[in-house]
Amino acid sequence: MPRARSRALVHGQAAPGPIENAIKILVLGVLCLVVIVPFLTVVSTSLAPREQISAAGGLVLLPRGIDLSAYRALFSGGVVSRALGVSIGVTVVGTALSLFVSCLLAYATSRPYFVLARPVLLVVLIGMLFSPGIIPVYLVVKQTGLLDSLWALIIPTMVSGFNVIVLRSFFQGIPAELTESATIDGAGEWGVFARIVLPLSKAPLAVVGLFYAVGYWNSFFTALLYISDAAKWPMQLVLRTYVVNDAAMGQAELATENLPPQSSLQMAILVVSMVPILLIYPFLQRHFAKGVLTGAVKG
Amino acid sequence: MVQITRRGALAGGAAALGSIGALSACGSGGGGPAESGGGPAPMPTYTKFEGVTPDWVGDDILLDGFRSYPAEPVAGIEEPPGDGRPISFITNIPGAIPPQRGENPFWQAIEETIGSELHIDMAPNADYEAKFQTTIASGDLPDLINIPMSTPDLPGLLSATCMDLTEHLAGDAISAYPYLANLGPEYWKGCVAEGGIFGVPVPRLFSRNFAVLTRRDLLEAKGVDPDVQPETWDEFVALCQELTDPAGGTWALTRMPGNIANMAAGIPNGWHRGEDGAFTHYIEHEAMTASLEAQLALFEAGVLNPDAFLANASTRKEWFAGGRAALDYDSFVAWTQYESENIAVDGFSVGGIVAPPYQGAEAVQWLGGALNSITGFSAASEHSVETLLAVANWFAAPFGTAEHLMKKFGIRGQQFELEGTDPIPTSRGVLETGIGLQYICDAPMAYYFPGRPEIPERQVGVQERMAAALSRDDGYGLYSPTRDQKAAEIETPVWDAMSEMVQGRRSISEYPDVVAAWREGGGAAIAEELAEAYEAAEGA
Repeated sequence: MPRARSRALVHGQAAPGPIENAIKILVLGVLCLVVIVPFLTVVSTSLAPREQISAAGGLVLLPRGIDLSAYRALFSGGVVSRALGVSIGVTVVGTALSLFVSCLLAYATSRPYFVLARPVLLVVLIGMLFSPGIIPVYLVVKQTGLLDSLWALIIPTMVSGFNVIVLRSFFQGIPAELTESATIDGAGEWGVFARIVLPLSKAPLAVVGLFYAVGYWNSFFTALLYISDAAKWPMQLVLRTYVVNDAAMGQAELATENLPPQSSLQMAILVVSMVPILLIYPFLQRHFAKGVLTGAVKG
Repeated sequence: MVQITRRGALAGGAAALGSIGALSACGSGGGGPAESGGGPAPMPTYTKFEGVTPDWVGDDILLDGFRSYPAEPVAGIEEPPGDGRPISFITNIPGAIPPQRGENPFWQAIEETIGSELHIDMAPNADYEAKFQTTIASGDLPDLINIPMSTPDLPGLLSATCMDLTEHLAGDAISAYPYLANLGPEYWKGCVAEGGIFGVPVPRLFSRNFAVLTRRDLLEAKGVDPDVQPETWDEFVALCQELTDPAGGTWALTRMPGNIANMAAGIPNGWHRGEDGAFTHYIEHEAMTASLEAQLALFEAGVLNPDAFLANASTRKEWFAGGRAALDYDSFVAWTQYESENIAVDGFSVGGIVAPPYQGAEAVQWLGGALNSITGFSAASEHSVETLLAVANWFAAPFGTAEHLMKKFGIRGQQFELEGTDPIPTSRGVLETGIGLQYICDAPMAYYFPGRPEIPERQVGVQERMAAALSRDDGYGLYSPTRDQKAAEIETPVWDAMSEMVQGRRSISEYPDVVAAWREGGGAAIAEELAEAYEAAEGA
């Protein structure tokens, strides 16, 4: 008999030795640090006391004590809390509407008996491949009376051609036997769509929903162009105001109470703008890999 | 009352000061709008507002200074300037996002005072140009337009989209608007296009003069005279070395004071018009190599923070405010802002050093950019030009007037409280007043700090030192299409080369080649166009 191998087989391959393991741990550890250190720095700087930030010259890795003054300053005017409300509202409503319209469009164009499927799909593809440009869209928004309305943040970007294609590909992959048997059982087109197709499409819906949600959440340029009333600005535009404008919280020409350090304010608003969208990921994680792969291989 | 003296003629631009027409065609930097055609623009007659008496009196260039706010601010305007109909305005906002109209008592009080609703379309500073350009391209223009100085083809835009104000402002006609008449000719030069006046200025000029700002408290702690003014560049380098302690994590300078070195080497500001009428940029000046050597000396002395060439403005400010650097390089506006933001820090005090001469050169002091922006009145506005000018006049109210107190500080008991005669903004007031009104029109900044008269006194002292050898940018107010299109593209390699040279990573002997490439890339064409624009504006 051959001598037993010194290393156990894992999935038919020899288990890595200690040196290989060490290298993997080192490489993965460095990669983790690359992700964690900036994140930790952002959170720590937002919480660090003024003296520590001044001594460190702006950024702090670990805070010596907790100072919430930056968060108090951000929320004191009501601007940040209102912007959070706007962003959450636009993201929730926009994602729901986008999913609804995209699903209808994808389902209709995935049915082989729908005679207009190809022309409609062509329109979707043209919209995906050729951007109309800023000014024409601005003029459309203006002519439709959407300027300074939160609907201007949703309607122009409500349907993404890419997401429609992903959903359509998945819908096409659902066995025809399932939809036919539902039809035989008396289900109409709406019944098939709502009771058979959608329940089978949780994974791609989760992924497409996440794409839409992240898109709405991160969007600031549409708000910059279309929204005059700063009370309707979403979080990302507020974030840019404070982070990109270096002197944002200072007040030239006026003596005022001592403000938290600028770095602290900037990092605090970064945290505030990141947390809500980060909270969504754990709930969608189990669908995510499956949904992305499904859309990718069927395209 | 102290009279500020402005000794001697202004260096650099002196030749261009002979006439009002000339004023329309020379000046300071960054692409002013005067069109190369139409002859000298008829400029408004400058009449300094005499209703308020400063403690330090400035003039059309130098800024006034005040120890305290006047006890009884003068009301210069009796009738509300508005016509009762809403006035729309698009602008950037420089600071925190203010409460909007419905929730902002200050905003409502301003509307009541001027007699018209103000509908302000705001954008953050960094994104304003994108919003502005989209708005212009769409033709969806508000009544008042905050036009950045960097706008491409500024003269074309002004004359195509804005009301011609010449008839209402030229010569003595401006006397109907006394606060606008209080703005010196240097400000109006930038508002000229195609021989006419197409906007009102949002002035800066001296408030944007740069100095080496000092932490006086840190200097004192080191046993250095807190109000030190080095007499030579070598003394300046020695001072920097004294203030540097790498072991303690402190370096004298937050960044390389490149333009201070240029001034120290006697290089004129921006574009300079020579006696032969030819324009040359300061980067072409023969003393530039001396300036680069002066900067290299600073670098080699190890007095700059090791991250000085990477740090952004926020970090730089943290170093200076946190005591990790005793010297910064910034403007009078930044000086006041430092004092304001660190008012609770014990002993925090800022001073200023002006450029000392380098190796016997005759140091000059560069005059800051005249304008922050221009406010144009949309040609499509339904308001009369008189109404919009009256509104601009109201917002141009100078320091010490009732209108100034209202627009800057708001209402006593709401946005500010009085300490003595000084208005002290409440935290609510700081937020509510930040709605961008200063970009409709404004008076030149006055040196003043509530409750701290020693601050304006120091600033006036630095201004006096600068006033002795001011240098203007002769290219201000002149339009060059090539500069519009190519300036950034051809200048970037020059700035990169300079940065490498002052860090010892590239030989300064290569500098002439860098300048030659710049001239070939478009620098020479810009010089020619500026000369032509000057001749045209002069009517020669």
